[in-house]
Amino acid sequence: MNFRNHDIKLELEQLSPLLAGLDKTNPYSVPADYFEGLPAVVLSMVNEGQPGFLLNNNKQPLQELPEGYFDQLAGNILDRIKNQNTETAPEELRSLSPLLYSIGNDNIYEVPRNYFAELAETITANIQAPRVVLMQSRTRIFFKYAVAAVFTGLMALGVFKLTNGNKVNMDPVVAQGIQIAKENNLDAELAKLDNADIVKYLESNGGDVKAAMVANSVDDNKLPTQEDYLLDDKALDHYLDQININDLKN
Amino acid sequence: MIGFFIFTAHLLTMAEHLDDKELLMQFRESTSKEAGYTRIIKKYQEKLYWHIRRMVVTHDDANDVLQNMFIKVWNGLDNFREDSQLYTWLYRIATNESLSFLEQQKKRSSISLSDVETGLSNRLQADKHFDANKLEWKLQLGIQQLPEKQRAVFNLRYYDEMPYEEMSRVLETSEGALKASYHHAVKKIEDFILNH
Repeated sequence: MNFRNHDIKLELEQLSPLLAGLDKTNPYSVPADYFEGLPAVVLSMVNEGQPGFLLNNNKQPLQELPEGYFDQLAGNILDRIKNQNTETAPEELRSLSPLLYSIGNDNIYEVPRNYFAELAETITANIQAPRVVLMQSRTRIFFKYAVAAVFTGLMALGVFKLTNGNKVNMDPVVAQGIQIAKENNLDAELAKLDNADIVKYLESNGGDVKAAMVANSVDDNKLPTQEDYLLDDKALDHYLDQININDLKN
Repeated sequence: MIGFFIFTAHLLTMAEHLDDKELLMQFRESTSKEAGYTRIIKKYQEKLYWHIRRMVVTHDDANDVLQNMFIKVWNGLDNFREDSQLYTWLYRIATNESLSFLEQQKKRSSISLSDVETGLSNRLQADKHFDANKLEWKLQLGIQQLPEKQRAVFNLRYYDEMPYEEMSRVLETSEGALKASYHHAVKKIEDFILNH
C-alpha cells in the first residue's frame, strides 16, 4: 500500500484493515497527451472571451459601458430578483422533486365519449319548464271574494231562519219533534205509544209490520247460530214456530 | 530518520508555497499573465483532474468541469487574498464545480440523487477496463455509493492525503465533522466490498 502520510495510513489501518490493505491503484484511463495539451486549450477558451472576461487577444482597453448602464442597473437587478422569486409552478416542482416533475400532470381519468359535447344539452333537457303563473288583476280578485261573502251570508240567513225562525208559522208536529230531539227523549216518547198506533203508522208508510214485530220481539241471544243453519236447513222455521209470530200479530 | 523526512516534507511545502507566490506574482503582472496562468495549470492540472474525475467518473465530464474550473481561476485569481494556499483555493473551486455539476446533472435528468449515484456506478462499470472481480474496481463502486460531499471527503483523505485542517478550508466544514464523515465513509465502503 502506497501512503505518503504515515498518520493517514495509521488512521485507515485502525478504521479498516481491509481498505488499508488495498493498493491505491488508479483504475481510470486518460486520453494520450491530454495533460500536455490542456493548458493551451484552457488559455484559448480564456482568450476567446468566455463570459466574465474583459480582455481579448489584442489586449485592447476595457469595453466601454453602455450608455445609461448605471441608471438602469438598480431596476434591472430588481427585475431579476422578482423573476427569481416568481418561479413558475413547474420550475418550483422541478427544484423540489424532480421525480414528481418527471411524472407530469397528465389526466388519468376518463370520461364517456362525447360527454362534454352533450353535457349542456343533457342538463337543459332535465330542467323542468317553469310553471306559468297567471297574474290576476286586483279587481277580479276582489270580485271573487265579494261573491263568496254574499253566498256565505245567504246560507247563514237561511240556516238562521230555519232554526230560529218565526215559531208561529212552524207546524206544531215539527215543533214538537224538534223539542223531543233537543231533550233527547225519543225512547221515552216511543214507549208511550200504543202498538196499534205503531202498526197503523208502519202500514201507512209501507213498512213491513211483521218484520218490525219480529225485530221487536226477537232476542238476539236466542237466534240460531251459524252451526245450527249448517246442521239443519230448517233451523229458521223451527225458530219462528217457537216465537209464534201469528200470535204476535194478534 | 523520521524527523529528517518530516523536515524535508516541511521544506518541500515551503518551497511549493514560495513557488505558488512566484506564480501568483507572475499572473498578476499583465506582461506575464498568460505565462503564469499556464504554469499554474501545468502544476495542478493532474491533481485537480483526478480529484474531479473521481467525483464525476467519466473523462468527458471531468474535462468539462476542469476547464470550467480553470476559467473561474482566471476570473478570480486577481482577487485571491492568499489567506490559504493556492492549492487549497484551487481544490475548493474544483470541489464546488464537481458538486454543482452533479447537482445540475440530477436536475437535468429529473431523477433523484440516489439514481445519480446509480448512474455513476453504471458509468464506472461501462469503462472498458472495468473488472468487477478486482478489488480496486469494487473500491471505486463503493466510493460511488457515497453521498457526493462524503465522497469528496473520502477522496481528499484517501487519495490526496489531505490533512483535516486543510480539508476544512477546502470544504468549509469543521474538522470534527470531516473526521466523522471520513470514518463513516470508510465503514460504508468496507461493508460494500464485503457484501458484493
